[in-house]
Amino acid sequence: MSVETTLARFRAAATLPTREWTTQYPGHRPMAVFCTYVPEEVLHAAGFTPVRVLRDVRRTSEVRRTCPPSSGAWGEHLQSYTCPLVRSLLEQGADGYLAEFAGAVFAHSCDAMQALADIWKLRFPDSFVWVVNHPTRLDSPHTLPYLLAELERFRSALETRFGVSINEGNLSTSIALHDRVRRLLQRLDTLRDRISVADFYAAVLAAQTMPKEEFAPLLEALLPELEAHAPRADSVRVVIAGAILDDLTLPSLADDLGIAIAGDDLCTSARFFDGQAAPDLPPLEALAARSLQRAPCAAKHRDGYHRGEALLRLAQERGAQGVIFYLQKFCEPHAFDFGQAQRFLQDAGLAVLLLEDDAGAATAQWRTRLQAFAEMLAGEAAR
Amino acid sequence: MSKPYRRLQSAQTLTRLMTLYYARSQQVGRVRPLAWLASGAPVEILEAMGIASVYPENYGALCGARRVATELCQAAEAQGFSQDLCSYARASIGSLYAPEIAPMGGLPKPDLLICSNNICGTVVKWYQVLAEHFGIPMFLLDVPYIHEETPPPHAIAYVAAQLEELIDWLSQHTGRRLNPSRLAQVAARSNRAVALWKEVRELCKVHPSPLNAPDLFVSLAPIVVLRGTRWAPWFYEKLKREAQGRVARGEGAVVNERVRLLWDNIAIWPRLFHVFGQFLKYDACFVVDTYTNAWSVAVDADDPIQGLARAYSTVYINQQLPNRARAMVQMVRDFGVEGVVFHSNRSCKPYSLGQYDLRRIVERETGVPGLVIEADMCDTRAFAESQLNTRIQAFMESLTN
Repeated sequence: MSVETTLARFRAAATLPTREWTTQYPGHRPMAVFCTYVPEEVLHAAGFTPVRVLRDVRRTSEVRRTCPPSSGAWGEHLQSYTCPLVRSLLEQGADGYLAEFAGAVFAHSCDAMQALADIWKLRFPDSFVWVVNHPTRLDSPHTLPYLLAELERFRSALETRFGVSINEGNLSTSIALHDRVRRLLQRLDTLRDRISVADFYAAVLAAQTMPKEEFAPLLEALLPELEAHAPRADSVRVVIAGAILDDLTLPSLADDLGIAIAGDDLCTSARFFDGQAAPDLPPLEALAARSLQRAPCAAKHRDGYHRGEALLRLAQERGAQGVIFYLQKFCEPHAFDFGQAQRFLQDAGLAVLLLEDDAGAATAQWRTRLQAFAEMLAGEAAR
Repeated sequence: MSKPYRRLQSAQTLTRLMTLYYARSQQVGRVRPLAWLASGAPVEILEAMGIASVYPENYGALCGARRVATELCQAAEAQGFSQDLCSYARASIGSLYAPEIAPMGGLPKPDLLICSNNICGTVVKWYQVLAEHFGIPMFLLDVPYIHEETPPPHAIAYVAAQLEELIDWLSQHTGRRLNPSRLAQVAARSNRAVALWKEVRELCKVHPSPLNAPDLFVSLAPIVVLRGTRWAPWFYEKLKREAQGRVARGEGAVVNERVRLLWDNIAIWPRLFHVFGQFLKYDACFVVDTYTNAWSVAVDADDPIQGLARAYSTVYINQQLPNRARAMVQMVRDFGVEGVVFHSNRSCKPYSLGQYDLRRIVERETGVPGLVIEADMCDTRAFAESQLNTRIQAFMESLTN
């Protein structure tokens, strides 16, 4: 398969509307996953295809013409000061886009997702809804035993509800597949200067929305092709931080304006593929340990962890001159981190730009701001 | 024309008590270690170890009531903190950067920070900011949210283990040791205050109710900041006597009480009496609320660690919506409530998101209608007062006609 064909498949997967998922991937039993702290491996071992559901961006971005307009069904349950992700998830559920999914699995993260889990159970009383009550503290000596008990409960809930067996054998197979995908994405992460920003993010999104058995060989075949390319000499390099990046508008703008995204701290990208499950531990323990050690979500707490310091380290490693915070409107955890990190990063000599996404790309405004940011960085680089 | 609303005598005692509390707080850090504490954190342990505490949330409410919170929020916004963040957090962060406009020049500088996410995830982020600002240690008591009817045993065990960890952590940072009998004594005092507070609130089942929600909101401060000390039971004894006197005389807080209401969520502090005044026009009394009910769980004094773990896990907003709905339905029935007012508080997502469903459930189960009003507990820029008044008027007219 040619490089272009593979990339086109990734782009199609990354922008596939949720309601078309079952048509696109027949023969699978999809289970909706609403957070990267959901142990997808356990779902996979139970015979499901875990599918990360994000905003239905086709309704909100430039391609909205191909989709029905927003029904506004979220407004029956949620206030307007709820983040666009939570609003969109509820709307997709209410509009029946997940009707053919086996259920939905949450993990504890922020206050808005916590409320959505409660509301989801009330709105869809007959469907399978589970919350992996993931700890907020990642580093207490008591966290691991607690999380292990949570994972055991999750396994048992799936076994009881669906009459499946999740054992050491099928868990190990599923962990191996997910680790393979993580390793491939980690390799892709080192090849950002051989691929466009939009294609990079299409690939990482595809890893979360495609069946992993289909995704892994595609990326595996693509990587040597990319490695054979000569690296681009990027003049403007930045890193990007935030919660989700599920809309390719911003990456495409970066490509248009010659801005290289040299690294990120995003839930739908680096935090998703960070780390590996330790092969020497029992399967659930390996999953728990990975999820406590991976790059943390802003809604988590690890003593001494400072987002600004982590971003500075990342920027230095990747030779970036600036940081873009790409935040969902009303997202508290990341907005706190922005408040805390921006001055720290500026004092360390990095330029900082905040872009806020309120239920859809503000393409023209972002273009202007990104262009000014890129010009400033290019000017500084030339000095 | 006589006033439609009877003010509490104990309000003056309360003002003196809280003035003393804050004056003492400014000095106490010189002789004892001082912690800043979130309202859902286990103060009993600190009290038993002789560690002083102050509450940034209570301070946020005070800034709101004194109408300086909005300005303090702007000071935090100038530092890069979004206007969409919790206004208690912004007021608190703002007071670090603009002490000249902060009441008492801000809270006294802490030695330690302790918070718990049983009230929200916001406090975790807020305290991270404080920890960096002051360069001091922070402890998070991680309390899993209850997504089922009762907390599962492994979650209680997790909280209990962290309470033991907290005791070691406090010893390590202050050199103080926990005396178990002292903890049992503090837990007993805390229970006494909680029991008295519950009795005071139960008196409001009487028609007419001796207290209105603003009385409850204002009187809440000691149970939050002085829980576990002798001052909290002392004040609530006094308040209870006053409420009992009113009951005996058949006096209501609202002179001609005609409508009985339930309030959901934190108060709108900068407009506390103004908002409740809108309801007074219809002789409506808020006889019960979900917010001041949050401090009503007793601790098992014989096994304080397990007891604290259970009590702090089961606070009202740490529980799934069906549990909250059940509690509200019970309140509607027990207190003879005829209407429910939901304050959709922009600052408090864990309390506010889900209110539309709660309104539907309460209406379905009891036939009692609900009104959702959009406002904020501190930031007056977040709502338009005229719109608020119009909505209140329309609701009250439909209720009273």
